[in-house]
Order: sequence, then structure tokens, then C-alpha cells
Amino acid sequence: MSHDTRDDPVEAYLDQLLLTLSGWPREIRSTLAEAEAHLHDAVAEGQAAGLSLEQARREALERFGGVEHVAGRRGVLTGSAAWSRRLALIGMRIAAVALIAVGVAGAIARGLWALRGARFVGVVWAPGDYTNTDCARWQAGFPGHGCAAAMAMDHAGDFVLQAAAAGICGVLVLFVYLWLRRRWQSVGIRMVLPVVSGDVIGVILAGACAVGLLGVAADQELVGNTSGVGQQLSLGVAALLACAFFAAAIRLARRSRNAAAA
Amino acid sequence: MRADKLKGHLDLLLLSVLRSEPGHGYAVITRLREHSDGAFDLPEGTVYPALHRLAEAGLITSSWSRVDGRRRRVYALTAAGERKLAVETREWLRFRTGIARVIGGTA
Repeated sequence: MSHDTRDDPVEAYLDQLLLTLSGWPREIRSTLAEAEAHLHDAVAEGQAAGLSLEQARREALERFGGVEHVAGRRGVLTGSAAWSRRLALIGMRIAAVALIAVGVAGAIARGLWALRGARFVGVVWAPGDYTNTDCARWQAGFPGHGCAAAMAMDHAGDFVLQAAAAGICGVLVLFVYLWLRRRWQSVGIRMVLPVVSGDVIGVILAGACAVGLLGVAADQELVGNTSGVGQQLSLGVAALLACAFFAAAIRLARRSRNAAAA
Repeated sequence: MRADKLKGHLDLLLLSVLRSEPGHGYAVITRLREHSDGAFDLPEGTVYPALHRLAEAGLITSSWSRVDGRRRRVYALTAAGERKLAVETREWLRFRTGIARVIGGTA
């Protein structure tokens, strides 16, 4: 027999409990099922003792205690905690993709270095902006080359190395993000913001970076000042790839949602 | 008895209640209330985290079954739980004796 559950305080309590519990999905489902069975038993017992349905529900809930009792040592996830976790997850996802994109930019820059020479990637400073000591240091790293060529190779190498380091950091951040995402499975966290909100921010940020960096690269190419253009170009292409990744993630989430709704 | 006074003894009480026979959460709480003549009237929801903690520690096991058309998680004492219960019971009896002696001596 079905009944209207809109005004049922037991159902409202179970809703609140669902939004409060954090942990693995199976634990949440188990705890919820136990609480639901318990409360229905308590209501039935109250009714058998002569209470009205409303009284029996109220008494069952009073005896059961607030949701914080059931959440136990895992603690109650307050609204602000849910926000903090959601924002942390969004920030880590964007940071991981951004850092990995920088790593990809390093690989692209290495390819551009091979294709168009070190000066295309490494910035060559204007004469007077460096000393003979600088020249000696660069030429020690790249013997047999002139000062400007050694400087370009040194700067290009620095860029590729730093980008690779950023990429490795990105992979580490990605692992932490995936671990935390599994750990923080609370429905309450997911309901703070729509699932795709982080990816929408990612599309906007990565898209803006791609437009800016590729614009600067194109401008420098047009004016013939190609020194270091490879950095903007590689970063721009990587930002474009990051933008495409976030867009694909949004599309995938929408498709999953539509499939679930169907 | 207030719930905070039961803190620290709840594990012993739950293991003790499950010693006689397995039971689901509601049955465990009912037995706890009945065996204590209503003295242990703690918020019923607090029992579930405690049961889950005992299950994680391997002192009780749990399995799902359908009773009266509703899914129930039935808890049962394990061998480790029985050993733990014996140790905790001995410690509690020693503690109770000590308290009784001190109170009796100062009364």
C-alpha cells in the first residue's frame, strides 16, 4: 500500500541522514537501510501501543536521536564542510589538469625545439641584458655554440624541464584528487554544486588561457619576433587540449545524466 | 542513565546482548533496554555506529536478511568477540568491586 510521504517526518529525517552521511557508498546505503528499518519498527511498535501515527513517528524520532548520533565518529558533514570539500575537489581537478597540460606543453615545446630550433622556444635576451659570466655559464652547458645560441638552448631546456616537473606534480595531484573523490562520496558534497560546475570553470579558464597565449604567439610570429614564441605556442596548444578535456567531461556527464533519466 | 555515562561501556553491553543470540539493530536496542529495566535509555541511533565499529574490529559479523518484508542487518558475536567480552567482563567486575569498596569505605 502506498502513502503520501511528503509530510512524513521519518522520510524527512532519512533524507537529512542521506545528505549528512559521508563515507563509502555501501556504508551509506547500509546505514540508511538500517535506520529506515529501525524507525519503521519503532513507529509500528508505537502504534501497537496505542499511539496515533503522528505521535508514533514523533516518538520514534525522539528516541532515535539527531542525525549526528547515527553519523557517529565519522562526524556530521555540515554545510560549510560540504562546501569546503566540494571546492577542494573542484580546485584539485582543475589544478591537476592545468599542471598536466603544462607538462604536455613541455613535450610540445621539445618538439618545436627540434623542428624550429632552440631560439623558437628559448628566449634570447637583448645584448646588454646579460654579462660575460652569463655567457660563460651558458656555453659551459652547450660547448661549441655562440653565446646567443647557448643562451637560447639553456632557456629552452629550462622551460622544458620546468614544464615536465609541473606535469609530474599534476599527476601526483590527480592521484590525490581521485583518492579524495572516492573517500568523499557523500551525496551532500555532490549536491552543493552541480557535478559539471568544476568542468565549466575549467573550460572557461583553459579557453581564456588558450586564446590569450595563442594570440600572443600569433602576434609575435606576425611581427617576426620569434624568440621564445614556442613557449606561448606550446602552452596555448596545451590549454586548448585542457579546454577540450573539460568540454568532453561536461558532455560525458550530460550523456550519463540523460541515460540515467531515461 | 545518561548516554555520556554509558560511553566507554557501550561496546561491552552490545557484545553482552549479542552473546545470547544474533539480532538486528532494533532487537539489540530493545534487549538492551529490557535487560537494564529501562536504565540504559540512550539515543537509539548511537548504537549503529558502535555496532559498525565492532564489526570493523572483527568482534561481530553482520549479514543481511529479509525479516517481515524488510531488509535487516543481523549482527552475531564472533569468536574474537567472545574472547573480548570475557576480558571486558572480568575488567568491569574488578572495576565495579573497586568502586564498591571505595564507596563502601567512605560511606
